[in-house]
Amino acid sequence: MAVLEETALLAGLQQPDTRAQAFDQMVRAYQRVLYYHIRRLVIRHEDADDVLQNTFLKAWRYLDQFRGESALKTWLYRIATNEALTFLNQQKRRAGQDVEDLANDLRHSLRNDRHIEGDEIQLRLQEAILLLPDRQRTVFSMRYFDELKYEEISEVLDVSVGALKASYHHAVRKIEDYLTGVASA
Amino acid sequence: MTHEDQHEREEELREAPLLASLKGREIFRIPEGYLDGQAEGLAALAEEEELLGGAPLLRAAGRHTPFREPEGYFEAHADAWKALEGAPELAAYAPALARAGKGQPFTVPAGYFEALPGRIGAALRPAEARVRPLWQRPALYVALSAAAALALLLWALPRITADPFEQQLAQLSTEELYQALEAESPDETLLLEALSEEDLAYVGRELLDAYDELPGEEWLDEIDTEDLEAAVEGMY
Repeated sequence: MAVLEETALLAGLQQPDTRAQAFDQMVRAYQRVLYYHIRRLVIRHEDADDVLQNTFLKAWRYLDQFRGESALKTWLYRIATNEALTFLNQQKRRAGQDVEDLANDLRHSLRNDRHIEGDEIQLRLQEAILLLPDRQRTVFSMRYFDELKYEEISEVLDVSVGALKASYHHAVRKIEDYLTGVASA
Repeated sequence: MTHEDQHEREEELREAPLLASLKGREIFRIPEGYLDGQAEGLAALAEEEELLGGAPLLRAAGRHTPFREPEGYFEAHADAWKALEGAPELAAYAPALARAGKGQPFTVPAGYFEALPGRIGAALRPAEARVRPLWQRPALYVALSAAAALALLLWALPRITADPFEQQLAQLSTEELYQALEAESPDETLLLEALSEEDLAYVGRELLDAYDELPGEEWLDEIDTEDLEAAVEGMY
């Protein structure tokens, strides 16, 4: 979204009489990028849909607290990431699952979900990503797929740029190792 | 400088006009920026002195650490991170990942993104519609129920907590009261307090009738002289 558009959108969000309309514009502007960000973390469409709706509902509820100190996109990414990670943690607790079980469950979904269509290497890549710890997965996803700057990811996750670079570096190495291992098997 | 001092200085220089003409001209120059940061530097020195003043060995050891990184460590990581910035470098650094590309296997149901803003808006409306007509508010019905319960309580409370003797009297008919008065001689004070004017008149009439029924002058024997005297005294 262009700077001027975002400025106009923010102005609309701050006025009570234009807030609902501006919010609708905001949903339309960011729904796809946030959906895929969430989807890569929770994998199933139905779960991504729930988390995305919660993300926008929370954004609406806490709109007054958004001071414009960060970009609107960064703020929304932050809410979406927190919602997705909270959702995954709830799933683990509810089912009494450990991390490995949940990863296996999600990998199973990758192969069986009716809303997943991809060639083999795309599926392998997602499998490799699912092997990463949640936080590292989040960093990789935002950097690799969404091409966010490290400074933006730093604002989203409240982690230093140096730590993010290291995290991304490790994630790439693990994914590369997995893909290479699968190719040579 | 006082006025007298100034006058004295002028007198001193009166005989040396050349020197007087040089007054106020400064020939010394300081390097540019020399004074910048002086205050901070002095503060740091003072802090250092405060921290290490009593520890000369620690001061001598300095702040250098003995740790050394492997040769080329930072350069290798810098190259690695730099390589991750763009796709061509990624191909060299992580070829399998580069081959996988950025395509994603995820799909959404048809029309999902077109419908989502409307669904979000619908989900927001119930939370937003806080101003509702009075008759649609559950709080109204709760308040009415509470008011009815309170009224019932106020009506019933005196009846529940009333003196049981008074309750029994209230339930008796006037005739029953009179019979009770005759048969059981209850506490007359309590009875008189409980009886209404109508009841008292009835009791009075019954008593007079009873005296009328007595034969001849027998009724005179029935009169308690003390009661009579008290009644006469009450009349005057």
